[in-house]
Amino acid sequence: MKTIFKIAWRNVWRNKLRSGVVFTSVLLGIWAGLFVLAISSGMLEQQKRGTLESQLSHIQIHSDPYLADIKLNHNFSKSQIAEIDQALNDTKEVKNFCKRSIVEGTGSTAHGFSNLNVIGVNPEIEQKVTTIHERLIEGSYFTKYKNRPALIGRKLAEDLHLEVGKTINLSFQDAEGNFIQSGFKVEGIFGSPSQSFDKSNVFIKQEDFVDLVAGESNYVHEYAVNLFQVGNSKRIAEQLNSEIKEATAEDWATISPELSFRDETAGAGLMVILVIIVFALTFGIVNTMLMAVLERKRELGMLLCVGMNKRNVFVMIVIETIFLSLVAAPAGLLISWLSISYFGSSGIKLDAVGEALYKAGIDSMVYPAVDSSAYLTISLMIMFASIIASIIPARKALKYNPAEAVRAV
Amino acid sequence: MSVIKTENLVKTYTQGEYEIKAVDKVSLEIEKGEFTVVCGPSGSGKTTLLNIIGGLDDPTSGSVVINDKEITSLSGNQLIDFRLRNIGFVFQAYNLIPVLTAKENVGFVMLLQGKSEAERNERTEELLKAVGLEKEMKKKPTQMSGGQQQRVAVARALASKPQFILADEPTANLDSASTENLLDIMAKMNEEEGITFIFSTHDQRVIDRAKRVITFQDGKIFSDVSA
Repeated sequence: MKTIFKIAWRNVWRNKLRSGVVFTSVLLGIWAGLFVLAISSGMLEQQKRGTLESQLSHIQIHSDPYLADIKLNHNFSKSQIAEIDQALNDTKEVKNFCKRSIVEGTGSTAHGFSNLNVIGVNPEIEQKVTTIHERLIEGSYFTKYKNRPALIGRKLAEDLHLEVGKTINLSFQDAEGNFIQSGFKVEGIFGSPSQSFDKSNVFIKQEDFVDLVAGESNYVHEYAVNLFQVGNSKRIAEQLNSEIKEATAEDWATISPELSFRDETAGAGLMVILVIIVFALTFGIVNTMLMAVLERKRELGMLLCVGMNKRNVFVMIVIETIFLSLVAAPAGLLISWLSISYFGSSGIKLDAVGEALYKAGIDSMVYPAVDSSAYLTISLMIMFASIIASIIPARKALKYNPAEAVRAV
Repeated sequence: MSVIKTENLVKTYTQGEYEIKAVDKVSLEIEKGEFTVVCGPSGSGKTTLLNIIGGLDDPTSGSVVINDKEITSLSGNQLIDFRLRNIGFVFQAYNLIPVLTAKENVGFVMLLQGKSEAERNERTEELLKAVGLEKEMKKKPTQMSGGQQQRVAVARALASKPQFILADEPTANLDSASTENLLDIMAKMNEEEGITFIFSTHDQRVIDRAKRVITFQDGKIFSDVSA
C-alpha cells in the first residue's frame, strides 16, 4: 500500500500544468466558498446583532393589555414595575435593562408627515442597553439641547427633510384622547441597520414624554432587557413569565420570528452554495482524472498484465484523485482564513449596494465571519467529492483490456 | 518437461458479418529453458497466441496448460495472481512506471508478490547488475535510453522468478547496438539460468538468435524449426 501511495503521490506531480489547474480550481473553490459563506454569515450576524442592539434587545416585557392593544394608558402599574424590577435584578443572567414610554403618533414638517412611535427614554440607562448613541451619524445624544431634544432615524430625516437643529412636530393622543402636538428639536440622526426602524421611531427624553402627556410620572410601557448570553433569551423569558403577573416577557425570536427564521435557516442556505461550488469542482476533477487515465492507458494495462489486481488499481486511482484534490485544500483553507480574518476586522465597505442593504436591514460595512466548523465542513466535502470524482476514472481504468492497453499508442 | 502446452487452441473474432480465426487449432509444447521465437507476418496470430498463453486473453476453445495447470478455467483474480507468480512480460514500448526509479520498477512486481524489503533490494540489485544497469538504479525511465529502459523491463520481468518470459516485439524500438546488447543479456540468462523466453517478433536479429522458430501464417503454425 505504501508503494501505491508513493505512485499516486508522484503521479499527482506528473503533469504539472494539468494538476496546477486542478489545484487552482480547488484553492479558489474553497476560498470562494468560505469567503461567500463568511460574507453572508457576517451580514446575517450583523443584521441580527444590529437589530438586537438597536431595536429589540434580548427580551422585551409588556403589560398584557398593551400587547393586546397599544394604548398610552396600557402602561405598567407601579406594583408591576416594582415586581418586574425585582425579578430582573434577581436574575443573574440579566446584564442590564431599561424602561421605555411609548406612544403611537405622527411626526411632521412642512415637507410631510410620517406615522411613528414616540419613545420616551432615560438617555443614561438607554445607552447601556441599546446602541442608538453609537449609531448617530449626525448630531449628539441628548447633550446639546435642553428643551425637548429628539433623536430621529436617517430615513425619517430624509423623508421629512430634517437636519440637526431643525424642528419636528410630534402629535399623538393622551390618555383621555386629547390631541397633543409639540415641536421637538432634532439633536441627532441615527442610522440603524433597518430602514423601517429609522423611519418609524423617534426617541425623546422620558421626562419630556411625561410632561407632554401630563399624566402619571411613571409611564412605562416596555422593558428592554439584555442578557449576558443571547442564547439564554428563551429560557429567561419563560422564567420571568413565571414570576411576573399580567405582563409577558418575550424573547427576541418570538418578537421577530422572521429574524429568528433567517438565523435558523441561514446555515442551510449557505450550505447549498458550498455544495454547488464543490459539485462544480467535482466535474473538473473527474475530467482531469479521466484525461490522466486515458493518457496512462498503456501504463495501467502493464500494471494489470504484470499482476496488479483490480482492487489495487482502483485504490491507486482513488488515492491519486484524493491527493490531487486535497493538496490544494490546506492552501485554500489558509488563504480563506487569512482573508476572512483580515476583512473580518477591517470590514468590507459595500457602498455600491449600501442602499439595498439598508433596506434589507444590513449595514453597508460588512465584517465577514465564519464558524470554524465551516473549514472542517468544506474540507470533508472536498474529500468526499474527490472520492466520488475518482470512481468514474477508476472504473474506466478497470475496464481496460490489459492486452490491448499495453499496446495503446 | 513442458512449461507450456496448448491443445487445439482457437481464437475467433467477429468483424461485422465475418468471423476471423486469429488462432486456428494450434497445439504446441514449449519445454523449460527454450529460447523460442514466434514469428510471422502481421495478422498471422502470433500476438494473439502470446496473449492467450500469457492469460491476457481467453481462447474461444481449446486449452492452455502451464506447469500442469489449466489456466483457461481460472477466474479473473486467479488469473491476475497466476500471471504475477508465473509469467514475466517484456513489452515493445518498455512500459515502465515513469514516476518510479529503475530499482523501484524492478522491485514493484516483488512488492505485489509480498516479498520483504530486504529480499526485494537484494534481488533488484542482482538483476540490475545482470543487465548492466547497476549505476542507473536511481534513474527514472525518462533519464534512460530506450535500450536501458528495455533492460530494466527485462529485469522487472525476471524479478518475480517466473516460469517463463513473454516478450512481445522487445527490440522493435531499439537501435542495433541496444538490440544486440539486450539479446546477449537474454541469451546469457537463458543459457546460464535456464530461463524460458518466448518472443513474438519480426526482427531477424532475434530470429537468428532463437533455438526454436515457430512461424505463423493465417492463425496456424506454418513451420516449427528447432536449431
